[in-house]
Amino acid sequence: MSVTPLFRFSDKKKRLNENRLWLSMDEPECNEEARVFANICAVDESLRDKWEILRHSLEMGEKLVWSDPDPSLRASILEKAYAAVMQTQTASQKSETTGASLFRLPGWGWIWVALFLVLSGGVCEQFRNANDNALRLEPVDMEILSLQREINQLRMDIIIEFDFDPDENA
Amino acid sequence: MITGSPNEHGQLLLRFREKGDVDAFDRLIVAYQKPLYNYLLKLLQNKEDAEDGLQEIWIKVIRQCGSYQEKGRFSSWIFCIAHNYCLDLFRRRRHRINDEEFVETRNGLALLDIIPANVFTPSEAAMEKEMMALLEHEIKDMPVLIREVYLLRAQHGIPFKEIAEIQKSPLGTVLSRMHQAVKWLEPIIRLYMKESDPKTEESA
Repeated sequence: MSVTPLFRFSDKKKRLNENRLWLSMDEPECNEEARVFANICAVDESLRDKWEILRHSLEMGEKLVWSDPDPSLRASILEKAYAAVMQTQTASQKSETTGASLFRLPGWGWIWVALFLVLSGGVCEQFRNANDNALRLEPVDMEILSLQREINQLRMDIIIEFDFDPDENA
Repeated sequence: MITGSPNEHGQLLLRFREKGDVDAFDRLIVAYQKPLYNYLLKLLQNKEDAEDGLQEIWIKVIRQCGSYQEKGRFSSWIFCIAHNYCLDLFRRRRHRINDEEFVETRNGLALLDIIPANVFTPSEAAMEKEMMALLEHEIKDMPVLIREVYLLRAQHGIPFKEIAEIQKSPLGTVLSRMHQAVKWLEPIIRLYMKESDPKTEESA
């Protein structure tokens, strides 16, 4: 007695289903579609046949012979890995010692620099203040000189007008 | 098959890259040396080419380890390097790479028609050995990209989504190539099914 399937897939749909069959083989434990197809395979002989072929193709692939590579290759590759690491470390050391060494002072060095700046700033400030004071005396001196000149002029005027020398009589 | 988890392998590469840990790199070599070698051997069909390729690929891994992203799978990354290496080699030697139409034009003779009847011996183990020899022979004749998909999935157990990343092809294209591979190998697979499970032949 032949079983008539409850439904038939078109060729296009069969191809799409085959793709899903493949994907379901990647996650056979949790893929709902694998269970659905298993149920469909019970009634669809061509799909069941396809499933068996796919399954056996993978099974045969797993049985392909594995060859061992030459053991000396591993040693040669490790040598290159070591050489690469040494090269990287040498390059990083060189970049640390050249170029910015002037700016790479230890912490205490920066404290001394700061102290120096503060002291030199203070000295400069003192020097500037002294100069400022010296400059401020000049107008006073000038005024005194001009007053002195006036006094001398007045004395001369007194001597000439009154024929009287105040310094002689003092 | 690749031992260990891809996340672990990614961490090993990062340790090599950031701390110069060569022992971590050695563990990667132990995990991937044999799968890579067999992949190259089946794809390039030449032992010397496979050994040269293996060295070159690891040198590329050392030079390009800066490009590895932590969120990616290490197996995809290293097989991608191997895939690119093989394609470059084929292009230099002017081998045909993407020739999927070749499958359709294959000789329509069933494999059984061209194999002498006395090839198969009564012993089961010998039968399986013969079968695998036939499979190896047929794999050699496959177009490169189709052969690659079949080997990565069937022999190495790499999922199709990862194969799509390795080949930088859409998932549908990868599945189509697998379909072509199975179509190519169908005569041998049916023979294998017949020999491994005689009930299958009876029900068919």
